Amino acid sequence: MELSLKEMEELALIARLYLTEEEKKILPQQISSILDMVHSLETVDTEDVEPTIYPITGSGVLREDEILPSLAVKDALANGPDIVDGYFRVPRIIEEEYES
Amino acid sequence: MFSSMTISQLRTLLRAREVSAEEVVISVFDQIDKVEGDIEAYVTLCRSEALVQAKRADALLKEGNAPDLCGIPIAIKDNISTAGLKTTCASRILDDYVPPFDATVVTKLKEAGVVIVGKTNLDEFALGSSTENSQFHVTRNPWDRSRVPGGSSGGSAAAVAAGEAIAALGSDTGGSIRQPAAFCGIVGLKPTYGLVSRYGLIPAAPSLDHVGPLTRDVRDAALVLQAIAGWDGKDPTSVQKELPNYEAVLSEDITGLVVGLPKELLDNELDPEAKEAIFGVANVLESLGARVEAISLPHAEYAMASFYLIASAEISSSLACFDGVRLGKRYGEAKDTTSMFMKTRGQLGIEAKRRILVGTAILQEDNYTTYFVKAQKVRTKIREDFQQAFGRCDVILSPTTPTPAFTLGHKLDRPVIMYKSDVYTSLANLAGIPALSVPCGYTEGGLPLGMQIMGKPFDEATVLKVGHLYEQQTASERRLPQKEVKANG
Amino acid sequence: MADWEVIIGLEIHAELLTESKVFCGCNTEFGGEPNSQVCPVCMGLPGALPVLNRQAVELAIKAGLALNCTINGTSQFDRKHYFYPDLPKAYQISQNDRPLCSHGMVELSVGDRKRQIGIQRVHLEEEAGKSVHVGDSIISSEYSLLDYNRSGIALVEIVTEPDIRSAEEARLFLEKLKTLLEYTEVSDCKMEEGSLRCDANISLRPKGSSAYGVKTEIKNLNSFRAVQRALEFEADRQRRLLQAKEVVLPETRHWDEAKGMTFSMRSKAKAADYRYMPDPNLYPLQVDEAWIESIRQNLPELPDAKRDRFINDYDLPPYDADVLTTSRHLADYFEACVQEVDEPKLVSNWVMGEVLRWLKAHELEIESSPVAPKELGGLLKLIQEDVVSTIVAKDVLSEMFATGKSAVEIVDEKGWRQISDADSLEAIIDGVIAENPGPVADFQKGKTKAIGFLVGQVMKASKGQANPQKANEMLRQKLQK
Ligand SMILES: [Zn+2]
Repeated sequence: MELSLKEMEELALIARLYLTEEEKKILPQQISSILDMVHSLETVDTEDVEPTIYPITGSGVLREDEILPSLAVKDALANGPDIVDGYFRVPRIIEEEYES
Repeated sequence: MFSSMTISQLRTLLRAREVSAEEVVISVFDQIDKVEGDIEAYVTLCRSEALVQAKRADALLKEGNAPDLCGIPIAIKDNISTAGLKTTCASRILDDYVPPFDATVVTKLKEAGVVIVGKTNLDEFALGSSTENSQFHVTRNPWDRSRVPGGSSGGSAAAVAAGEAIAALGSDTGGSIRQPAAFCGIVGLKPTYGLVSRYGLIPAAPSLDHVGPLTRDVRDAALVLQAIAGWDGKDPTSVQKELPNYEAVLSEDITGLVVGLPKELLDNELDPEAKEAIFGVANVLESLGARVEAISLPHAEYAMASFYLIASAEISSSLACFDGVRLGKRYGEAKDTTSMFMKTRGQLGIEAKRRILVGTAILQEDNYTTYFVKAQKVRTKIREDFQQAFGRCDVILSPTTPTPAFTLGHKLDRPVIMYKSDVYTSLANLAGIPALSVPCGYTEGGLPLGMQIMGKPFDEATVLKVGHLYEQQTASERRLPQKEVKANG
Repeated sequence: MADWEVIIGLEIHAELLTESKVFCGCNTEFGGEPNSQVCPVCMGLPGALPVLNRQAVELAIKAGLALNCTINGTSQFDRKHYFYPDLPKAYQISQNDRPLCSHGMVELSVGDRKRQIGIQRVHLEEEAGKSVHVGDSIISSEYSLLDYNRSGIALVEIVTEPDIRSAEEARLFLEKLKTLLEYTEVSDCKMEEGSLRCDANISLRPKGSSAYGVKTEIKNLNSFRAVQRALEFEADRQRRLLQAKEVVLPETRHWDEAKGMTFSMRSKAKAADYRYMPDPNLYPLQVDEAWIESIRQNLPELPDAKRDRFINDYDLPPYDADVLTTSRHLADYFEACVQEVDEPKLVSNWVMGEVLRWLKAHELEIESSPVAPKELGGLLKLIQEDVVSTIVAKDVLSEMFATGKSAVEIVDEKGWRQISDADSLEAIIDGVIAENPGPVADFQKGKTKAIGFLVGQVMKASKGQANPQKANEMLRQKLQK
């Protein structure tokens, strides 16, 4: 798979990654060569093979429905880069535009 | 000098009150003052807190009811969360992140009485094999400062090798404990998946991530493992199991034990010195009563592709949370959230970006089955290889790495070549099985070589026992890295 | 011109009534100080890990059983990726390919027809945080503020098959669903607090066609009424487009309650690819038969069964049975009252009439009624025993609501006992006859309607306390002499 610059920029937008000009130059080829590693797997017969999601066979633990102490508000907010009135603040969210 | 001793040696001295924890800690910091300028193993040092902890340890030792690792100075890889202590993952985004909670392994080590020396350098978010991807600084190999210490737990390995800590915790996603241990001539253990809690380990690829010890010898690895292993209700993949006494089993013999030598891992691409070293190990183990048998791991050659595709997918997901809202340093001005997200995440290093982009690509609906599911199916084949192999043998022996430590800057811009050096180690991550790296000789140029002993799931005891007996048998050949540091320095 | 068939499918999110969140121990209580009910897990701090809440699973299974679903022994948690500031990990833990419950069905009564609405799936997932947009709207605000108290609350997503055929049916379905979730105590279904939310998909196709048309998705539906209005509007909009041979665009549309219209929400990005992957931290959820069976055994009687029982056991008209079983508390209230007064239709009339009217006027729910079922029973017994008339009883009930006193106390205090004894009535009746010669003559001439006027005068003279039936009888006797 030969990744074009445009395709990579689309991926970068989906992953919310700003790329430098330098990165834009070298990454498409590198990413393509990593993705191409999949070709080496094509010779492995995986018909009827279950995919491994977990390295060991485990069973999920369930927790009882008990309230445990939450963080103190100041600790919850301590690492926030922009805190206002006990909230985390972000610049305006533009996701959609309404239009009739 | 105390800073070059093992945990077990120090434990004896501390209990006998022949040395105080404070003296041990001071000795470690003296060594740090001497060599850290060259090695740069640490991101953060906790000198004053360490001294306070040492005094507390001395009080407990005096009372005579000290916990197991009381007063032992230990370094923690900087992707393991420490409450109130910066945890950066060697990333600019987390430059001033202070977790409000301790990783379970840190809680357990504190309960065991250790003194935390500091947080060690790593490849950013543990993505790399040389620690050169740290966004702060490179770490140098104590054996040869023109060489990498390995990675991603390069800081932990270099610190232990250079006497800047008695032992360290690392994390291992595809060899990140074992490869730097081999490069730095120390012992590194990746335990079975689920044996040691991952709670608080900042994830790279959760189905491949493990926490484990880097130590001066196998006995120390057993001691640290004992302290950090066990079920944790906060980690849903943690396993409930009765734990053996890992130190006690070390003294058992290995008569009749079957050691498998996988032919796929001893092929021609292997450095001849490394290959020779492994046959040397096999001879030693045979002399100790083990039987060595050739075995096969037919899908080993697919490990690298399977590993990188799975890891990248999981990494792209794990690193998505660094968006600059609840934590993390923002970068530049942004008028809207999307641009804020992009600029904040734009600070990530190129390796992280590479893996995120690869992962994002293969999780797309159109690619999911052909890339991700295919890699997961091959992972099943690799696990089955091990199940078959362990039907015939008790442990599997291989080199830890195909070469000794490479020079700084050597492979940085050729990712696929860099990834290739992970082939030997990533197998155990794919299969979730325990794997121990133990020094097994030196190159002509004096660089340490490492062997890897892989075992059955949850059979750390056998793996440690084999490593320990080999180590005992060859003790006279063991060199001290600290001497090399001095000789060079 | 073609006749069009409306095809609607709904996606409902309901918050589960657990004490703690779905993957951590934080309190789920509504209305706390911002960011006071958060921990490393629900804030998505790196390294924290999710541990599943057993009760959340149990409630989701309950919902599945109430909706006649198959409960799947093994289900899978997946990560659904998208960037939004209220989503801490930038992925939501949800269930994609293998939901906990699937293949259910809800039966509706639409007029006198029965309709079966298929339930495609019920799956478990986590709630996102809340963003407060500073400014008039999301568009004009300079910035937004994030509170993660809600983040990680357990949710079920319920997806119907495209079986709904009108906006009214959609509303009826939602009412039925709400009743079921409340009966089973799975969710409190408070749309105003956001604990129940609904998105709708709607398309039109020519009647008789089996292929589906292009659908639109409607968001921002904040009440059942809004769902019905928005779907009516949208069906109409699509119908006009199709009849004009124009195309319906596959898009998401936003319901504007004030304007009564849907608007296109133009998204700049292409259709979202959520990059689903199994969550490697969460092993598949295993639910064994024994667990499902014990939940099934402990399910309360569901509304349909209760309705049928009310009709059969209490001989109630279907309308009464429908109304009384819309809420479990209302049905319980009715039954508790019937325990006191063995005349179900009388009880039903009073509960559905006076009691609900008063509660509605005071914005109270039946479970917080100041008049307990036993007290209402006390009042109705007085009616049965002719102690008070129906008219007076209404005043007594108002007093009971206002004062909390019992019916007997009020009747005695106010001297409102009905006059039924012949002597007392006779005196009043004689007076009325004497004072109203005209109507008396009318009656005697055969204008039987005049009796009504005279009874009214008796009631007036007795301040409403005369037994009207007795008065009527006695008047007739006297005048026919
Ligand atoms: Zn929480």
